[in-house]
Amino acid sequence: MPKKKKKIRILIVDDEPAMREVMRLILKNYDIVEAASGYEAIRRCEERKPDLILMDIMMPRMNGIEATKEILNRWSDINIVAVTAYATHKGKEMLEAGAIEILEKPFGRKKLEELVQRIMDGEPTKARQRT
Amino acid sequence: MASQQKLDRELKLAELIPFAVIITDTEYTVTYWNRGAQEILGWKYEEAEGQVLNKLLGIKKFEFKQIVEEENIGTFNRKDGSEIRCEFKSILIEDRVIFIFRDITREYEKEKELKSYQDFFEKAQDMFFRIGKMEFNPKFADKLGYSKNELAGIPLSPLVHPDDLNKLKEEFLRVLKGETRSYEVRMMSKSGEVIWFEVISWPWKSDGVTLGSEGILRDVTGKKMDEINTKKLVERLKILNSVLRHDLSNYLGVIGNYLELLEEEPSPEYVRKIQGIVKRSLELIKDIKIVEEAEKTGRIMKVINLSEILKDEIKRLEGPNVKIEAKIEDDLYLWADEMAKLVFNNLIGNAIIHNDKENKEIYVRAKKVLEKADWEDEVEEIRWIEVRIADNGPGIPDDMKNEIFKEGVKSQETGRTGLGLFLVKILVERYAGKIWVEDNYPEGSIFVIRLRSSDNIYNM
Repeated sequence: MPKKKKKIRILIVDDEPAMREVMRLILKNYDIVEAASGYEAIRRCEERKPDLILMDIMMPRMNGIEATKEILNRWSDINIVAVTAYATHKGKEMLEAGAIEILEKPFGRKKLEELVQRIMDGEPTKARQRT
Repeated sequence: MASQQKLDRELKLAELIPFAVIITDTEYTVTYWNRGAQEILGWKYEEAEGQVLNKLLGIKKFEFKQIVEEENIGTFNRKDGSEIRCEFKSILIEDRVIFIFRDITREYEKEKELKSYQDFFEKAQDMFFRIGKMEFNPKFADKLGYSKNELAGIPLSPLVHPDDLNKLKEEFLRVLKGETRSYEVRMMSKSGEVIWFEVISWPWKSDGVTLGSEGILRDVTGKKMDEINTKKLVERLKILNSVLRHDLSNYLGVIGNYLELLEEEPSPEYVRKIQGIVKRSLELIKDIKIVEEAEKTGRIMKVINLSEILKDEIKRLEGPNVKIEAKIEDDLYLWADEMAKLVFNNLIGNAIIHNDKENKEIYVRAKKVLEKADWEDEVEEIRWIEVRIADNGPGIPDDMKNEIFKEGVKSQETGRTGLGLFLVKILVERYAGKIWVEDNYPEGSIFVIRLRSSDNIYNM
């Protein structure tokens, strides 16, 4: 029996349940974990460390910027992508906090699938190129 | 004879003194008029001799007699027609009356001027101050809720808003350097209210020496509050606009994603999802409209029957799995407006919607509460109506107890607009009330709302 390949685990962090649900449907081939706040995202990382986090910025109970700093401080190998409608100013803060890429809302299905694939394949991201 | 000689000697002395010395007979006919009299009153001795003194000075005889007997200050005519104010003394010696007049016109004019200034200072409806000697007019004391005497004993610092103390010191120093300054400062009334003043201040000088600062104050609290409220309103509308743009953009994005999924796999489930998101988008627009309405200032407050509102809401929201136990006092009247019912509609509605139990239990208590606020020498009574809405839901973590009232904080389970509690907060603020969250035991939350009873208005 060939050893079953471990599924890539993605943590979707967003305070909007509809957004989490549709992202889960788009990324159905991955192992998806959800969190509704930055605070909850840290709890999920403690339970089941993800390979990639798709992190919203504006959330109650610890926003995406604070959560990104805290998570990368504890698990520096996790890839974090900022998913935001505030790509200009807040996006810059997310990159400074350690996010590797920004996915601007609203996004198409294909764009999300390709972004996840590219990061999981280890291709260089915009933020990595800069550093 | 010896007494005549003595008098002559004394009259010679009288020539040397700077007062008017006049001697008359008992009918006030002048027999003696010294040099001082000539200087003060204008007539020479030759002109005054034989004249009747009261006629000469322009006073009727009976009035003059009265003045001589009772008063020692009077206003008289001079030779040139001008008036002179004199302090005088008179004495009857045998058949002669001796008068001594001292010219006090200049002192009198100064005193009159000072009195007129003091009258103006005391009665003025504008507020004046003088720092250096610490003087305020009664209008200023009244504005701060003190009597003038009370205020005189208080140093300036406690009267000024702590955040404006340094600014006031800087302005004072600039005035001492000779500048005239115009600025705004907050002061504290006796009851702790903040009063905004517009100040125009200039150096207080006497004989060319700067002794302190003096100026005029104008109460601009109403104008300032309007400015602050407008600024707050603009900020809130900006936030609402941002929430609307952000959330609608998210919803449209999600609808777009579902349509992409539908292309690949036609599924009634996706259609239902899209319908749900469209419904939520419309709810968001409706909620924004309500919040905007609530933000409008200038609403007319009136007596609102809270007992009826609560009973109606409970009747409307009770259902097969929703048990609402109520203990509501009769005759609970608020000083509010028609939007007050939205406070309870949202809070009881939330207690049901966010409750994760199959059998949802809600408890509503409403009663009158009297709060006594102690000021320095008086006790203010505030008549509240307290409503406690408890549930057996999942509860609210401590770090979220204040956060939930912020705009756009969504329920993590339901994804509702997050504007409901923001609206509640705006309305409670409008009615000068209070709201907070406590833990319910063994589970759930209690929302406590205190709103002002209409008794505060009608029992005053």
